[in-house]
Amino acid sequence: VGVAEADASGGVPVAATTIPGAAKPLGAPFTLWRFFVLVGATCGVYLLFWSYRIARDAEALTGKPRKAWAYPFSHLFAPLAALVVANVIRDCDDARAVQDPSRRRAHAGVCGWAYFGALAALNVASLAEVPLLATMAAIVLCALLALPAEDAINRARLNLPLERRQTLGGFAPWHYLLLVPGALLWALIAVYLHDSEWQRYTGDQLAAGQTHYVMQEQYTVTPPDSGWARSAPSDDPDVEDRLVGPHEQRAVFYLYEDDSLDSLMQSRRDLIAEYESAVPECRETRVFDDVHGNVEALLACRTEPTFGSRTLYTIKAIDDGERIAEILISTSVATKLTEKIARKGEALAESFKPAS
Amino acid sequence: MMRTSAALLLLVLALPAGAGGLPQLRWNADTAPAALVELARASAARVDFSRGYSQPRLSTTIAAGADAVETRTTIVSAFGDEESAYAYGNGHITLDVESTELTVNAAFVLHPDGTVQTVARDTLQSVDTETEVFGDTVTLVLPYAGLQPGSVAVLDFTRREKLAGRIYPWGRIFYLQSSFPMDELHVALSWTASRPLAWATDAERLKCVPAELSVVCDGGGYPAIARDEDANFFDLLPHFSVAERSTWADLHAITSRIVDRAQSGSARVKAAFAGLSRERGGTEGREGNQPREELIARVHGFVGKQIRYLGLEQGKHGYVPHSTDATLERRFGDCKDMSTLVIELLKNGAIAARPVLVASDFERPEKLLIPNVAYFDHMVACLDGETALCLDATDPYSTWSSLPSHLQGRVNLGLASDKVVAFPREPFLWTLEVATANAFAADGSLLERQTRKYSGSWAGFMRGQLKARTTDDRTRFLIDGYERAIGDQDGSPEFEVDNLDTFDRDLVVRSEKRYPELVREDAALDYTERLGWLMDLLDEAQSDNREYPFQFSGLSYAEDSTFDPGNHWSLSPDTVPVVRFRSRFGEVDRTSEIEGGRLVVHTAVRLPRASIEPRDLEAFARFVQAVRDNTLIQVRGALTRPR
Repeated sequence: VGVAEADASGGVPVAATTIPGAAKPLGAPFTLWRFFVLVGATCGVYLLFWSYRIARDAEALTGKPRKAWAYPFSHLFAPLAALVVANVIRDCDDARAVQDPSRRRAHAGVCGWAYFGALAALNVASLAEVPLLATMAAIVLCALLALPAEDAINRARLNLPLERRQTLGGFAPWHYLLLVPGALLWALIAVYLHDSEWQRYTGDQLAAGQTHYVMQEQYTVTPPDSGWARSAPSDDPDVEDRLVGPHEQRAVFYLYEDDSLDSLMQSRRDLIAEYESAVPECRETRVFDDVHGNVEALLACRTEPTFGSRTLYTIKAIDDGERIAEILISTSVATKLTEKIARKGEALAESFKPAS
Repeated sequence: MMRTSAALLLLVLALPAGAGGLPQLRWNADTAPAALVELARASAARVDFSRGYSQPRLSTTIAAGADAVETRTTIVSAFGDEESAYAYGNGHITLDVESTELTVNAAFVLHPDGTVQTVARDTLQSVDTETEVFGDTVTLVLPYAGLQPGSVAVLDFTRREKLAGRIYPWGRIFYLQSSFPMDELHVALSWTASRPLAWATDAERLKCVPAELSVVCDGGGYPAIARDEDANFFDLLPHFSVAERSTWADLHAITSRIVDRAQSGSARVKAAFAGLSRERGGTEGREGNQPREELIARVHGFVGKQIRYLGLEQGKHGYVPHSTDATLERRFGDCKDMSTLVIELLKNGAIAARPVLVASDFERPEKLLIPNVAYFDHMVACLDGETALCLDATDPYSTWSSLPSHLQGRVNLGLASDKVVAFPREPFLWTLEVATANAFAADGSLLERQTRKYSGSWAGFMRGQLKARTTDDRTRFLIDGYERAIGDQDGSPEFEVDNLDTFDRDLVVRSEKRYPELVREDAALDYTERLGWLMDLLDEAQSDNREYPFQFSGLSYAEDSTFDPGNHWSLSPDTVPVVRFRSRFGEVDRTSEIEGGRLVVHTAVRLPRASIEPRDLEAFARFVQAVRDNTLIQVRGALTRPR
């Protein structure tokens, strides 16, 4: 029996350490099905949350303050823009009807499409704040374009016989149906914006199956699949590198001096348990790297499923006797994909090796 | 009699046999011969005193005649500082007084101011420095007077060893490197055609020019050997071996002959055997018709325990064992006496055994350059037809069925009658199995019941440690070991020792201890402990060697640790990491499971015996440290209501 040990080394600074997954990962561009389902199910409210999260995650990712409120705010303009555009389309259509009642064709819908197109062009090349400005500008532009037409229509309407006036400006469902593909396009543009912005901050993707240096070229990793990219530096002095990956994954590399593997791994278990409502299921294995003389600990934890998804934590720590290098991978994944994604995470963790 | 200590290296010459007391000597050293004074001056002029102590010159001239061998040795010593004078300020001459006439030709100190101060004869001391089985040697100590930094001492002496009446052919070994620098070496041999000498050396820095009846070797320039503690220096140092020409078979035949002659066949021996036959011990034993193994065990135990080891060989008994009758009557003897008695007692039981000489200092047979009895310092009895099943009655606490640890790997003559070979080695010298049952109580206390099982030659070592102590000292010894490995909080455990007197079984130590208030009874269980006995054992796997290989003896450790939380806690699964270490130095496995609400942790560590080269020592130390760092067991559990 030994003494119930109080670790004199102080252990890992748990309070100062963040678990990437605990902040919930970015609304990844690759889970479109979930995005659209949630947007539809919540009548678009999820879109506001999702866009806000993009801004928040981008802020966390870059370490630069961002106007997170601008994202959902810009999306609030979408219904307004839709109303304006629908009005313009209707009015343009009415104008055509006035001029040639026999040809009730909706060429005026092009005006609405032009709006979405302009917005897309602006978004692709701009930061996330731009949609707000673009939307406002587009509305103003459409309004300016529509005002003369409105004026002409009003004047023409006054000249029509009364019975024909009643037919103008009526409810035309197809006008609104026209907005559906436009809204979809708009969503796709927003998603693409997110993706392009992501790339802007993470740089080029790391080639799958190839060895890449991390942690000041002292260690290497080999991404098992595509979609992994290097993330921006962190202010945390213990964080040496960060990767972001597919499947809403984040990998963070830490380096600790004068610590013990036992205290580190225990602090990880405690930290995960602290973040998760249910005590996660964990399994730890330690092996000895006879080439480098290192002890490698691999800790795999998975939370209980919540709303069809669960969080996986895969941690590998390499103890060379003087310092401990760690990769911490968090993945939020649909339950049915757990095993597949877990293997990917473990493969990345296992590829984490000393560079020599 | 047993292993020679590394301190023997300070004596550059390994010397032969003799009898106790102040040796007879011819003293011609009241004045310093002019030639030697000039040699001292020349040495002082060119020696580098900054090295502390050194030997600028060592010269040995051996002339073998028809009836005697005359050896003249000249040692020039330089003292560079006070420390070297303190450590090496005496001249030493070791000799076998029974067969040797000693003449001291010169013993003086040349001081830095040019004055010469001779050693006063009345300051000589004689010390019994018995280190070898075949001989009765004493060491003559000659204190150099007036030593100061810059002094040079010269010791010149001649030994004349009679050849007549020798049991074994004359032989001598000269080590050519020591713990201090040696600048010039000179060895000259000459012999007659009627008594030819054989010689050989593995010293690369000694160039020999042989002639028909002589050889002259010159060389030197040996630096001080590195002071690695865990090194078998005799296997590493270059040496010069010279002996009367013979074969290994000749030496073995001589040994067999003298042992045969010492077997008396007396009534006393027959009575002793009859007594052993009548003993009723093992369950299979039947009076007068015991199993072979049981008889061997009894003979080993009888000689080991009833015959007191006393390694004071005198006269011819430096080489020849006393008769078994005398040994039985005296109830003491040396390794030759005890082995001879073992052989005769076994023979009475129709079990054939033979004497085997042991060169305890050597583990590499190739280091025994020529047939030379001077290599050997021990004798054991080995069973005929059995590979290395040898009984060393001087180690009474070991089991006869495994080779004692001090013999494993050592070079011997007798396992094979016509060549020297090394005894086999067990892959694991340190073999320990531990079973620990920990039971938590609702009041936060923990009851630990532990069983340690020592196996193989380590069991013999531990048994020796325990048997050599009084009851109180034995308890103190066990407590000290426990506290060193586990801790000293909350008092000492209670101990029981099984098989302390049953040498052919594992030695079992049981302990029980309660730790009050070890955990909080009103909180979740969070308890950690390390495998203390493994940590303690891993100390044996540490070496500070820098230059020479570390001879690691091998470690096999297994522990089953059980943690019973009782009704007060419900244990969390998977709190103990799975450990699976695979290294060129060994393996470690640890698994755990929850069985019936208890946590069971299985640990197995296997680090086989190995000679670790200096370039691998860092990696080995790292692996050992990794094993040590991964001995933590964590037990966690949530409070639960008592059932």
